[in-house]
Amino acid sequence: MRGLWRAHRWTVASGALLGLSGALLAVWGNPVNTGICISCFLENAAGALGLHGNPRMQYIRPELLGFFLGSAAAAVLAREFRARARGPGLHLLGLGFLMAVGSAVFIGCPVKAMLRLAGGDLTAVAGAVGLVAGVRLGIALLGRGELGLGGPERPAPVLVPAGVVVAVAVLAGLAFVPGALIESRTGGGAQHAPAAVSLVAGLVLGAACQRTRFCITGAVRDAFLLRAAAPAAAVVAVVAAAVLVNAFTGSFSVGYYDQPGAHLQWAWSALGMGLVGLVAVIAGGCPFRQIIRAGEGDLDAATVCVGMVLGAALVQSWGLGGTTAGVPPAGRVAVLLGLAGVLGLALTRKERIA
Amino acid sequence: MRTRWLCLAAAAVLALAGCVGTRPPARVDVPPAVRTVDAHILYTDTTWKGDVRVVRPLIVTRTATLTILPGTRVFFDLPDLPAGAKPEPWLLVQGRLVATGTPEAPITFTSVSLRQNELEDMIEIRGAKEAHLRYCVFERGPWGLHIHDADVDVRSSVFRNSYGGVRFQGGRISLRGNRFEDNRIGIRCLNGAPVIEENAFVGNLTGIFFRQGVAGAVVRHNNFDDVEYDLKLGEAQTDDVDAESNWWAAAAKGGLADRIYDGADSEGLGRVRTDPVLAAPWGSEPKR
Repeated sequence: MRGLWRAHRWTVASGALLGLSGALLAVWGNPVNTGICISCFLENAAGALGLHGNPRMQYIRPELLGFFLGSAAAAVLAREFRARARGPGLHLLGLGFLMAVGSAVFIGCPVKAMLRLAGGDLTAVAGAVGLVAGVRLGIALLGRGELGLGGPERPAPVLVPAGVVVAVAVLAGLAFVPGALIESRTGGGAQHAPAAVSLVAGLVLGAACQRTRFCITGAVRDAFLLRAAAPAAAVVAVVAAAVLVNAFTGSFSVGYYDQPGAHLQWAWSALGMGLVGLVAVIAGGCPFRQIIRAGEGDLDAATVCVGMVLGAALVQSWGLGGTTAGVPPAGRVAVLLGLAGVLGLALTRKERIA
Repeated sequence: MRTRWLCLAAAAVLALAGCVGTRPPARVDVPPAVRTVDAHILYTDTTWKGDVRVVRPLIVTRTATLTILPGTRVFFDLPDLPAGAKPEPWLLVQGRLVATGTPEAPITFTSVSLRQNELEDMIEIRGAKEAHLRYCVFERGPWGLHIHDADVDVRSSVFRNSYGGVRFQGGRISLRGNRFEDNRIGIRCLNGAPVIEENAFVGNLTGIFFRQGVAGAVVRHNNFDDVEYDLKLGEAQTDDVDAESNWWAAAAKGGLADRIYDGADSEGLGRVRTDPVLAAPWGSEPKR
């Protein structure tokens, strides 16, 4: 058992770094409890690229680009940058879309769920419970071979991921050119830490989490599979580090009501995060991990990321996301359809196997 | 007969002219030498002095302190809110705000266009480390101050000709020696225990509105002379409110009950305790 703790110590350190950075980025200008949130950042990015028209959600978050580029750099230095693909592309796009929808209904990705908890937001408890339940369900379905999508890993032309890296690097450069991309003047999109600080934080986190394979849903999954607490310690580290920073900066406010960027519809929070947890297990990682994997040259993860961007754009265009007023009917329908779709796929495959 | 009609017509013209004359102008002029702030985030400590024009919502992050020197005139000149758009505070303070004017050189916050709507806020102080305001004037705007979960001390300031003066929720709020004049609502509070002392409420539609969850508030030594209600409780405000030792203009006319909206008007609401009332306006007699 001591070996298990020892094996996870760097992952735990990455989790602590993530929690520390997430809380500090909120202090430095990102929205409260949203120092790091992949789904929110992707909605911002989709807006900055003109994929939706919500003027409050348009900004290329340098953190997002930093995660990808930091991961790519670390992978290249460690000789782990390999162009590879496994599954067919269309279902991966769908998985990315569902992760964006589930996160939007909860108002945040799994990383933000942890940061919300660390800020004292008790409404996030339902999301965390839903996330764990979703991961557990995903393990059950995968374990019985019902959703083992994709075949063996195949090599792919290295020019493809290399081109993506170059494109993201160009985008990162454009983020520093005033007026090159659409930028919110009001709302959450207008709240951001200094761009250079955000980019550096993203690069460091991207590199650290590439080396340690940190993943929120992956940690929960491993805790279930190994029946041990050690893997989940990384998630605890995220929360603990963020709590420390929040306590130190006066940003810790325990409560159920009036929490920033949260709603009180706990059932929909649980279902939204449940969908994310379920899909993340199938896709091989939480939204954050997908970006890190994409940076390593994994084209499956890159496709999931494209699906998340499209999902983020549609979430904004169709009004699927939750707000402080609650979850709109369209968002509820989307989550239920997403869950039904994934479970239905599992059942039909089971019949086919039988 | 003809003279009577002429007199009536003259009176009507005078009344109309009076109405037009007392209504605030649609826009005020901004001095040509004004400094325009085009940033939308302040990350570091910043000081404003002279004339400052704000043209887009501005955020003071937790790493920054905005200090406004005495005599500074801040002109909010933001584009109109598009129909259906979510309102944004014109100045969002998450760090620190220090706006301490003097009696001779107050700090003014003016909305360039007359924007007396209930949706927007001139300054929102949300989860901020601290905020101190002395001798400030808020005019022609929506709400002057909107405070969420922050400790804020406002003294000797004027809130006038706006939709509302100060609205807040949570935090430790202290409002002393201020004047709320000709607003729709002077103060609106949700879930808090504010200290409201030695203020003057004059000509507001409602002086103080406790919406809900106000317990342990201190309301004393204030002068009230409002239009509709001096103190009004919301439909979910079930706790009683102590408002002893205030001066009520309506009490002198025997109509104080009409200016208080509480459990006497709607069953289930808390009651406002006003006795003893001050016989003369606070400040008109030597303080004991």
